[in-house]
Amino acid sequence: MPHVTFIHGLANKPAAEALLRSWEHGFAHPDGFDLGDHGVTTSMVYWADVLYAEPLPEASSTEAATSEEEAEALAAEAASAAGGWGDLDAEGRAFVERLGTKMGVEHSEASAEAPVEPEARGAYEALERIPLPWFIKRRVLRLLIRDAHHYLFNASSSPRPGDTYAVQEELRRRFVAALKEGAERTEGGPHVVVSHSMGTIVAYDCLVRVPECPAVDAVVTIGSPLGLDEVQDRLRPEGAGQPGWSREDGFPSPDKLRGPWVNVYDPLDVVCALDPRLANDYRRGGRPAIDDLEVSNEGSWRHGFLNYARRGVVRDRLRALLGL
Amino acid sequence: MPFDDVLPALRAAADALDRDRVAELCGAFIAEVVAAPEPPPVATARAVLSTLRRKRFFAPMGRVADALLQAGQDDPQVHRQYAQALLDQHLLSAAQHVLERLAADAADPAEEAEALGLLGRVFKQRYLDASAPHLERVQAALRRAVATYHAAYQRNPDAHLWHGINAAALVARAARDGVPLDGGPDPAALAGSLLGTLRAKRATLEERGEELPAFDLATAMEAALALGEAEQALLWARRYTACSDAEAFELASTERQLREVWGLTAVSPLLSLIRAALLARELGHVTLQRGEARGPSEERLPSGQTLELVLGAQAYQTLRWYRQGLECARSVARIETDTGAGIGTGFLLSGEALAGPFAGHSCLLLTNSHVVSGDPATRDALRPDEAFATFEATDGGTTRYRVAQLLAESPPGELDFAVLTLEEAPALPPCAIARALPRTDGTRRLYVIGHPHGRTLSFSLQDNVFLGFDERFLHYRSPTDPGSSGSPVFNGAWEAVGLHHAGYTRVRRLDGQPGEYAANEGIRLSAILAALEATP
Repeated sequence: MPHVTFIHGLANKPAAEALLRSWEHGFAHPDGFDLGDHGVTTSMVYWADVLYAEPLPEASSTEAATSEEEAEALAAEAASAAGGWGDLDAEGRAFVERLGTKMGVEHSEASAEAPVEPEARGAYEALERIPLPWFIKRRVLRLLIRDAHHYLFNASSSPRPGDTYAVQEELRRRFVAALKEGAERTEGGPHVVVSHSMGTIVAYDCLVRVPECPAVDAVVTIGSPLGLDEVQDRLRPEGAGQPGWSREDGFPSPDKLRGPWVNVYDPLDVVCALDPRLANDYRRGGRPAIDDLEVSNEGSWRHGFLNYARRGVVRDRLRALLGL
Repeated sequence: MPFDDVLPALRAAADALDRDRVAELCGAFIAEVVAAPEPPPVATARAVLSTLRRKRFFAPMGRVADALLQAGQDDPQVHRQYAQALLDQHLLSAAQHVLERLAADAADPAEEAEALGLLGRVFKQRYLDASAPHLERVQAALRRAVATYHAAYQRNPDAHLWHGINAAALVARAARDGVPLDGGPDPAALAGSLLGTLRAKRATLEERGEELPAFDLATAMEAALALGEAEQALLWARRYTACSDAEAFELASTERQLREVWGLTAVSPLLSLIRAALLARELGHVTLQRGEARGPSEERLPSGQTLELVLGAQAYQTLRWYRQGLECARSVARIETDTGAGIGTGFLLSGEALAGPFAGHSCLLLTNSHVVSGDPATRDALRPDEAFATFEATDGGTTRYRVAQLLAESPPGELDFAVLTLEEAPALPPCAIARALPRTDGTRRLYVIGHPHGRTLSFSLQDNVFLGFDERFLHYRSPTDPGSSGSPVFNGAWEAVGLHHAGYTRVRRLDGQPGEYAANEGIRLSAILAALEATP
């Protein structure tokens, strides 16, 4: 049977099972592609608990959580998580500051709410008819920078008393374990990874830089920050002869990714807006190999996974990747 | 098993809709009750009965209540649940006796009101079941129903709302049927006052961020209907169907009320919405009245956009799903003898879906070979030249199509299918075929549309959890009536995955566990297609 391994993105989430249900529901409704009805098994690489003490409460109904509400909840959460940077070493600080400057969000506490309107703002608002308030964007971006930093620098996280994680090690372990389990369940059917937001960094990192990571048949990245130079820099080989990102050969090798990589983006998605297309950045033998798929999401919160999952073209592409 | 230990196990079995386990646990509980010197505590007795009622296990509920009463558990609620179980098994006289005594003896006004409400339902059911409004004794039943409901309402108009709405609905029905009532409440005034009470109640709850309970929402919906406010009724229905405590039990009684008392039919968006919600619940089951399911009748429904606006995205989606099912039902055939006796079901497939020698046929009818067969060894089946097909959901079954040819078949002991052509191909869309089976994780259901016992078309969705499969067969739970043979088995996207052929009380499990269970069995469509492809 075909199998999909999902990995979620930045910020806190409802508990794993509820999140998986809502993602499946996102593809299925309205008038969509119900994975379960077509025999597709699924699993979720859940990692919000590595950074957060407890899961978000589940939305009372899937109808209730509009994308705007989701964005506001995220922004509120980002504001409360503002202090969660931990101790930054010099390299980490440089990463955070470079990204922060690029996105127009300084990481220091003092500037978090400052009414500065950075130049970068233009890049995000070019075509928006219903622009997301800048303060929400800034908070989301700060959250992205923080999560990306924690993963890429293997920062330590203690979400609950007694639980301490090395973020990258823990997420790599969970992702690889989920792929192994997924591979066992597929019994020959295609195994597809569907990753969102920060999750795309984890998926890529594991497929390219973790030797024991099992192979999959296709990868879908959605709303991905993998286009950022700062992220790519951190995905370079860790030493001579080690695997890692390079512009010319950034596409995962065929013994890790047997089939296509589809990258879905909305140019107004705040997380991927600075460099939404990936084909140029992750080539195979110098040639573009990623299928960059542009969509137009609804409303102002373009980054939400469910917003992407409702696009017919995304559903069709997933369906095709699963051979259905 | 000690009394209190049965409850968690029973709840789990009832929630999983595991009939065998429910029956087994009830049997053990009854044995314990009958043998013990003292009856179980009131709280345990009530909890066991309400667990069974919630999931509509009326037969075991009746047996458990009976044992409790025998053991001396004299709690009024046990008496009432006993009556409820009798009533839902159509044992109306027995229910009436229990309820009359209960109402007369009740010390607690709330319990008396409940008893009177059920008693009202006994009389209402007598009137409706008889379908003979001209008979004096049937009219008397209606009058008693109205009087009983109205009396209960008047004792506490702020609390006994569902009694009130039943009185109003039946008075309106009496007017439609031309049955004189000798007085009785004015339905519009009664409905207006109910709606006023409920709006006020809802406003108070809203301040606390709460919603009315399901039954109150259903009452408001009916009150709006009684006042002729169609859009308001839909709005209330939307709230009602979105309510988490509106389970199959509640929705089924609303569906029955709208259909039987208000006379709504498949073209009514209100009834469609309730049915759609019911079918989306576990244990949901809908039977269409003859000639009622003629496909979605767009002209009588508000336009898509208006409807979506009133219903909201989720309820609208459920409604659309239900209407897609109705659309699929159009290509489901009743297989009849030349005298019009229904003996099974069949459904249309496009020849293109079938490879090889069948590809040239635009329209083929698939059924079981134990329904239609050219093999003299298959004794009970109709011969192809004796068989006719009608399409009830399309034209009420008025056009009869004679079977022209039997192209292929597999004996009942093997793949149990017969592929037929009709003398005149009906201009109907064939059923879509699924490319894969649903997941077998206990969350997926299969949907059977057919003619149980050759009767009127029914969406037999009752508890059809997909259990498992092998190369040839699919298993889904809860035995379907025998006449459903030859029905299409659909996935949630209304794509056909199988051909229903049998129900077993004991069959080898296909869910990866050892042993046997009760299950329905369908032939996998993929196995049939493969067999046809191999046909020379």
